[in-house]
Amino acid sequence: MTRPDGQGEPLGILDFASLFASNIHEIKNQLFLLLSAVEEVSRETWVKEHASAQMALNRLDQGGAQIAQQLAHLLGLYRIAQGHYQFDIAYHEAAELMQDVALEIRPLLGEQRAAELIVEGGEALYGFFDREIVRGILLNAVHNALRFSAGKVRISAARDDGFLCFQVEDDGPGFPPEMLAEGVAQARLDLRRGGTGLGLYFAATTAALHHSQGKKGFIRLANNGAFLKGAVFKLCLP
Amino acid sequence: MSALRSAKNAPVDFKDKTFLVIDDIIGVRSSMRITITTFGGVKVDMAANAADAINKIEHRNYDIILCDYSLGDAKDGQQLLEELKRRRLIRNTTVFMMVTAERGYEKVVSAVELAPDDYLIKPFSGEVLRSRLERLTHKKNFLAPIYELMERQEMRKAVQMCDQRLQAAGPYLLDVLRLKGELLLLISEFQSASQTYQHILAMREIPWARMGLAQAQYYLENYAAAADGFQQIVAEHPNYMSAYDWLAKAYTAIGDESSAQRVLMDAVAKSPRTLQRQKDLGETAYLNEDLDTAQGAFEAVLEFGKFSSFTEPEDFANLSRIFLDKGEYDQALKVMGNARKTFDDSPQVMLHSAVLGSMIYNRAGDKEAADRAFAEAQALFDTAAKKPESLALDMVRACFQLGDQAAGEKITQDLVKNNHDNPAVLKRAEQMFQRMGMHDHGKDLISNSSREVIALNNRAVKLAQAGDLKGSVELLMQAADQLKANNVVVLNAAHAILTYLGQTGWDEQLAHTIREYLDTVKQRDPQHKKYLTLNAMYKDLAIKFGVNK
Repeated sequence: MTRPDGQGEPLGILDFASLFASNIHEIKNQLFLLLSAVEEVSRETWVKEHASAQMALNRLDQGGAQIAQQLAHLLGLYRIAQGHYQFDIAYHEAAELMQDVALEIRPLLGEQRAAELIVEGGEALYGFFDREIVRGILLNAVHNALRFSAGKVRISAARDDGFLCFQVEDDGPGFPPEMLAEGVAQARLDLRRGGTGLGLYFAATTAALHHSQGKKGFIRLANNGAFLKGAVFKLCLP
Repeated sequence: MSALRSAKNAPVDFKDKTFLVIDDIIGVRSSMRITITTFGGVKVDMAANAADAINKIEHRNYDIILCDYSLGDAKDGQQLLEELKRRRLIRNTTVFMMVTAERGYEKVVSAVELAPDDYLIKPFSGEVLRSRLERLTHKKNFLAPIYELMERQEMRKAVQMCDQRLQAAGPYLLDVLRLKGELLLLISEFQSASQTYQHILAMREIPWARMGLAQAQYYLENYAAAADGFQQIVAEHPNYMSAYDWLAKAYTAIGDESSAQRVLMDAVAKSPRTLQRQKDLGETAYLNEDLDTAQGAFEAVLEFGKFSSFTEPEDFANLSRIFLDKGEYDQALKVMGNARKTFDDSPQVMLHSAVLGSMIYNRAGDKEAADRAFAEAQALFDTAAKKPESLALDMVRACFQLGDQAAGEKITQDLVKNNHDNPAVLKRAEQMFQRMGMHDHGKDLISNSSREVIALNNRAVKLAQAGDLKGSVELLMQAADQLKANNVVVLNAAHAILTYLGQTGWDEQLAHTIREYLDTVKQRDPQHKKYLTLNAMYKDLAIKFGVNK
């Protein structure tokens, strides 16, 4: 890699990081333009008459939204690493946040509703957290769950040992055993689950940045969920 | 009605709501309008920039304002919101939603001091917008009974309403607690305010609650604890700008002016365009004899205030005084020349100019010009409508320099009596005497004058304690008539009459005096805390005696 001024000196690692960050931001903006083009096309009558075209556009839409979410995670992590991210800890109802997530996810499920998103509980359940961060974590968890589910994904919230816990469960095959064994602290590269572990890494990092009176937030992964028997992603906040 | 208001999931009918969409891009405005119509909104107005928005808001009440953070190159959305709040152009019940691209998000979120009701990151769907607006409308409905009392200036009742609403606050718990804390600070119930904020902080460390607690501690004169609190906010939330100003105030109260100056310099480096902060820095640096820093700050006030209506002749005088002290007489005169041009030779600017001119010419050795300016200053000073403290201090200094010691002493006495509970003014006065090489004389003058006011207050309190309420009232009224410029004295008198009326029954003439006293203070400082409290007490009393006032 040479510097743009042609001096031939390699970029420092920090320059690289900011080069990446600003480009990721541009890529994300371009992606949104692409996605709005997809949306325009899907409104055409001829598309509505062709189920296969509609499904292909849905996949584009869903995949695009997930990429956008991953890019947002990358940018978020970059800002946190730089110390620029302003945490906005406020008092929210768990149900409201889950409704927000559902409002963003449901349009992606397409008109046939090939998959079902169930939201349960969380009413009159309040906690202190950064809404945008937690929204990002849950959106990513639901995107992942949808990819591996056989048709159902369930988000719920409960109070557990002084923590406010959100849970995303699916009816798919569950996490591979080595992933559970490694634990989320590792948050390692995992190509088999389609991602690079970025979502989990983001979730684990930002959950831990929620702290109060000596307690820190965390995430947990498990299989054989109580309701849908598949993978379980749990986010707990103090 | 309250059952209806607490139905937080009931759908909202947007048909009757008035919307204002503020965005500099016409395409965005029209697509926002379309989005709003998808969930039933029909009364939608548009504004392209802050000035346009203010104009529309002045002419119509909006229920919901959707404002983009970036509004082209003029004011941004946050500055617009601040102006709307400062000028009280939007009601508490109006929903103000900030819309931002991801890049602007942090700026929006870190504006913790005057936050919008909510923010939304682009892009978002109509469904998401509808859902957010529905929730905000429910929240405003829940808080409406409190807002109504606040609008009628019935702050005590508003606090009671907070307590009532707390029992079913649900998702609005923190909103109600925050309002309660702010109201308690407003009516000077600092002990209760501090309890409210401690209650919140026991749940979670939240910067605005830490801020409220530290403010309550400041007013309780627990300056060291207050400074610790402000310091903690500054350390954890470096963008919480008003925490710097308060921290500097707390340091000044402790007597640590050099720390105060350091904090203000940090704040000014982060956000130089705040005129009041530059003024505070200038004054603090002047107290610290750091003339260069003071000069920079006062120059910044003039520079940034050039095109706004916020500068006053006093700001020019502050800078001119620095040049006078530095011995740069031409510069000092030039600054006041600019001032006269800027303010079209208004009586106020002519007065400042004459006072400073008399000292500048005197120091420069032009005796004749100095005497002429001083004579003009004396004539103008006696009839001046406004006598800011810095002007009075300049006048004192001119009197002593030009040999009218008696006049100088008289002005000092008045100034001290009217500011006997304002340590910053007393300190500036003392320092000015020190600069003139008259430290002991100045100190005596100041402490004797403030002792007079304090003694008078104490005599009135003693009379009241001994059961002679009438005597106490008369004494305080006498003091108030002598010291009309002293808010504390005037309000103490109003308070005493109120208590007296409460015990002996309504008396229209005394009631009239109360209204007169309250109006005097209201004109100078409509947000004066004790004024607001007494005004509410007066209204309650009038209702109690069935007087329709």
